[in-house]
Parts: sequence; C-alpha cells; structure tokens
Amino acid sequence: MTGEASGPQRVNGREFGWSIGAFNVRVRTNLSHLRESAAFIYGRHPGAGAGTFIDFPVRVDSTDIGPRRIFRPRVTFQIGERRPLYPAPRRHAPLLLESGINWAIGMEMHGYLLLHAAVVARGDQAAVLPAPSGSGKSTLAAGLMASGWRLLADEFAVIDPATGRVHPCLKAVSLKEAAIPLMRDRLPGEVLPEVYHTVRGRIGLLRPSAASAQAIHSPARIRWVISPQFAHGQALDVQRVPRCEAFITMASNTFNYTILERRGFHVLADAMGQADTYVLSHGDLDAAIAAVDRIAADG
Amino acid sequence: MLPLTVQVLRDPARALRLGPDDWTTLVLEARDAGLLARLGVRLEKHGLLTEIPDAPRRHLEGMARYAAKLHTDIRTEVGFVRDALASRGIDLVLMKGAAYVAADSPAAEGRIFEDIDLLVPEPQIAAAEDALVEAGWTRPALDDHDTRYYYEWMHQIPPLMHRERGSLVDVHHNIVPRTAKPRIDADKLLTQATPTSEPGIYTLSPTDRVLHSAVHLFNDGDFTSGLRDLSDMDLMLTALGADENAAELLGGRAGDLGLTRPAYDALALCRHLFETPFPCAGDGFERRRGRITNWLLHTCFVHAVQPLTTSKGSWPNSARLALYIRGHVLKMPLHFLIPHLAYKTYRSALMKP
Repeated sequence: MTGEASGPQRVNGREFGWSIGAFNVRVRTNLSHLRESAAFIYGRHPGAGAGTFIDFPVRVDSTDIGPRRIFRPRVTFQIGERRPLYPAPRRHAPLLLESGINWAIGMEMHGYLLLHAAVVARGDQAAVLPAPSGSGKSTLAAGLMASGWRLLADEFAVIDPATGRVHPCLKAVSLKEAAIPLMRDRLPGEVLPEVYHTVRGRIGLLRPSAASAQAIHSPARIRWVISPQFAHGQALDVQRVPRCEAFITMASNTFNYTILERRGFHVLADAMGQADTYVLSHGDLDAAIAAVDRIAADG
Repeated sequence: MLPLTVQVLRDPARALRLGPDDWTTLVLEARDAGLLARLGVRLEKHGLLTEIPDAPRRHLEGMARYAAKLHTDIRTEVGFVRDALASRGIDLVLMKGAAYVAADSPAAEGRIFEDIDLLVPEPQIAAAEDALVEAGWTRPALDDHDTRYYYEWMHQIPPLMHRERGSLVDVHHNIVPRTAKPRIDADKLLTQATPTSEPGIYTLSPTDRVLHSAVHLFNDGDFTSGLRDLSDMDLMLTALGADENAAELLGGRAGDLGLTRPAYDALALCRHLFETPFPCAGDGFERRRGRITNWLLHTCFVHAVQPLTTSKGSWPNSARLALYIRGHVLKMPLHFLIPHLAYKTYRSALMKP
C-alpha cells in the first residue's frame, strides 16, 4: 500500500518512489534537477517507500565519460539491465523519465488493456478521449482538468479486464507549443518552469491537480467516449456516433488489443457497453470544454 | 545463493511467501532474464497466479498472455516460411524458440523470442534466401565488412525481415560458425530432424535441441540470456530424462557430434541451478578438460547467469566479459578476430551521435 500523499518518498540516498495510481515507480538518479522536477510534478501523489511493490525501478543518469560529459552531456533511461531509449540531453531528463515509464508500461502491462487516450472523470464517471498524437487530446484533457474534471491519464487509459474499469495512470500532462503559455495562464504555478525544445517542437510539463492526485486509487467506469479532433479555426461540431463506430476508434487506439486476442474484444466491448459516444471537432479549447460539460450534463 | 527467479521456478509455492520488496526483485530479475512470461505460465499451471498479490500478478499474467499470442503468430508465420521454402523443394527444419513452439517442447513454456531460426543444407543456402526474398522477406542493408562477417565468417546469412508482416527469419547452415572449432557436421543434424504435428514442418531432434542450446550458450559466450537458456535446457533435459536410456542417448549423440563438453556443462549447470532430474551427473561424459580449468569455467558460468541488477559486486559483469572473450576466441581464430574487433571499434567510434 502506498503512503501519504506526500510526494516521492526517499528510499535511500539516491532513490525515491511514488505511485501514479495503477503503477508504482522508483527512480534512482544523481541529477538534482530531475529530483526537483519529480518533486514538483508528483509532490501530491502518494509516496512509495521500502516495503511497497515497485512496478518500475528505473534509473536516469549521465552515462558519458570523458570530455563528452562536459560539452553536450546526455542522460540515459535504464530499467534493470536495459536501456531501451536513445540518450537525451541532460536538461531533458524529466521528459526522458516520462517517456521511459511509458515504454515500460507499454512493453509489459498486458494484464491491462492499454489505450492511447486521455481520461478525465466526474467522480467515478469517466470520459475517455481516444486519439493519436496531434489530435489535441492532451490540451483538451488539461483544459478539462482546469475546469474541475479530475484527470486519470494523459497518455494511457488503463482498463482492468476483470472489471472494465479505468484505473488512473496519473503522470505529467505533456503540453505542446501554444498550449504551454495557455496553461500557465489558466493554472498558474502548475506548469513546470522549463520548456523543452525537441525535434517534435516545444514541450512543457503540467502537473496533475491536487484533486486528481487525491483520487489516484479510485477507478472509474467509462460513461462517455469522446474522440477529439482539433484544427485551427475549425467550427465546433459535436456528433453523437453509434457505439460500434466508437468501438472501432477505441480498438484502433488500443496498444495491446491483439495481444489479448478474443478477450480484448470482449473486455473493451463490456467496458464501454454503457457509454454514450461522440466525435468532437473543434478549433477552440473553451468551446470544446463547454461541449464536454454539456455532454456530461445531458447524461 | 540462487537467484530468486530460479528459486520460484524450482518451487512455485515460494511465490506465496514473498513480501513486496521480494516481488520487486523478482519482477525486475525475471524481466531482465527474459523469464517473466515463463514465471507467469508456471504459476498459472500450479494454480497460484490468482493467489499472489495483484500488482506483480499484472506483470506475470501480462507477459504470459504476450507469450501465448506470440506463439499463435509464430505458428502462422512458420507456415508461410514453409510454403516459401517448399517452392524450391527445401524442407523447413526449425531451431531454438520457433522449434520449441512447433514441437510443443516443454521449453516452449512462456518462451519469448524474436526470430524464426532454421537450418538448411549449405548448398541450398542461396536458394533458401532467394525463396524467402521472393515471398516478401528483405535483406538488410549491410556494409562490406558485415557482409563478409555473415557470409564468409559466421554461419548464417543476415536475418531477413518480412516487408509487410515484419517477421524475422534467420537461415543457418550450421549451429556453429564456419570459423569455429570444433566443426559440427550439419548433415547429421538434418538427417535426425523430427516431424511436428504440422505437415512439412520439422525441427531438430529433441536431443539435438538440447545440444544446440548448450553449444550456443557455452561456446558462443553471450550470457545475456544465460539464465533463460539454462531454464530451457532444464525443461528439455527433464523431459529427456524420463527415458531410461536417457544418459546413453544424450551421451552417444553428444559424442557423435563432438559436443560432449557443452553437454557436460549443460548437465552440471542445470543440476546446480535447477536440480534437473537427469539419470547421470554427466561425469561419465568425456570432457578432456583439466579439473582446475573446469572449476574455473563453471565458476564463471555460475557468476555469469546471476542477475546483474540484484547481485552484489561485479562478479557477474566480469564473468560475462571473460566468457564473451572466450566465446569470440572459440568462434573466430585470432587472425579473423582482431581485424573484426578493430573494425567494430572504429565503426562505433564513428557512429557516436
């Protein structure tokens, strides 16, 4: 059982652990800026100290030796004996940690159905936003969180095959480009000061709200499926779609759908069997948030 | 002290007595060893998967499911490979992971692997490659050195990847490199190939599968999957050991192929780690190796299969390095090895991003 909502719990000199809901993480690092960013982002999550099962004991450290260490220092993500990701610039350690944990979840956690989706909820009623990258799901999820929804996930919807419920996998929300100043404005003090310049543009990290972290051990059932599609200047359009159509979207966005074979079909179908399903096209965040609120109010 | 993974494989009920920190260690170890799926399947077989804590169970159950799906896909894929080779009149003889699955070997239990390994008579290698390319597998882009490495020095053409399905096929004409000593007569392996329940799909014989696993581990020097390989051998030897003539069958075949040393090493290590029930200790196997060399080597083997992350000290690393060097020396005589290693060092220095 994880501890108080006190943030990453120090286990020994260089290791600290915390819960993200469905999983416990323990990080070993020499990098003070990584410790600080983790303390900021996960400061309200339950800690996971000694005597707690850790799903992903990982290490993020500098691995260069010699002159390289000084000029363009890099850090590596390591889990056990493996280094599955390319090294990243030292400054990007917090991003690398997020990516590394995502990798570890996706590689192994086939005891759950894993969807590429954001998940928000009112109480125990969840809205799943399945979508590939670039659809604006992270921005929409962040906006909904800012307007009172609790966040369960930005990246992975984690569904328990036995119950069909979604379990929080509560990590940093990844904001891109214009969403960064937008969220700084709406949620002052909640966005990590650093902005990371990557090959995919600028990325910022938003921490989950206190309310989201408090409910980290509360699963939710899927009440709505809303596929977001963002395009600049697009008019708001909310379409109620047949559940079987939404099922296809959900299944296409399920990383390990085929691994669960026939069972995957039944689990997903049962999990969303009572859900109202929509496609939401928008060009304006506030209009989209209002639309989701209306969907929730109608239900 | 045996790794926790080994303890639980030997005595699955041990899983019921593990605390949270033990589970963290076990999942971490087993993940690195490539044995997470096998653990999951083993506990499931003993009806224990539902008795362990929820959080670690997700890992074991998840990987057991992954392995099951992998095996389903492999069986389909192997059918395509057979059809491709049949177009040139070449029989499909599988080895390693794909063979375990096709033959329903005990070593298929939770076995995870990437490639489909097959054995083809040396004169038919080019035809096999052509047949596979025609059926959609592609050759990787290699530079001249790598091309020579594969075609002239080692015992395989480079792995081929299917351009649509992504499956990987490794075509071998022997189980040891052309440059290695001792030489093995691949024809002997092919003539003993056994049929499976699928028409046109053969594997190395059960005895040869063990010997291949043994020579691959002990002579090749790559101990990254050492614990997994020994677990495979434990499962296969246990099955072979049921026969009352097991010792003669294994010993005879090992002698015939010139593989008595790897066979001896396999039995000794499996006995040490898993208490594998095989009718003889392997002492009767002619090993032609001094007692001290033998002791040194076996100590190295035992250290090399220890998990790196949960063991104290640097013995596992040192042991793996020593065996890696030994493997290279056994694989390639020095007049090939030194230019090869020099070239690899030069190339990786160039490639630093």
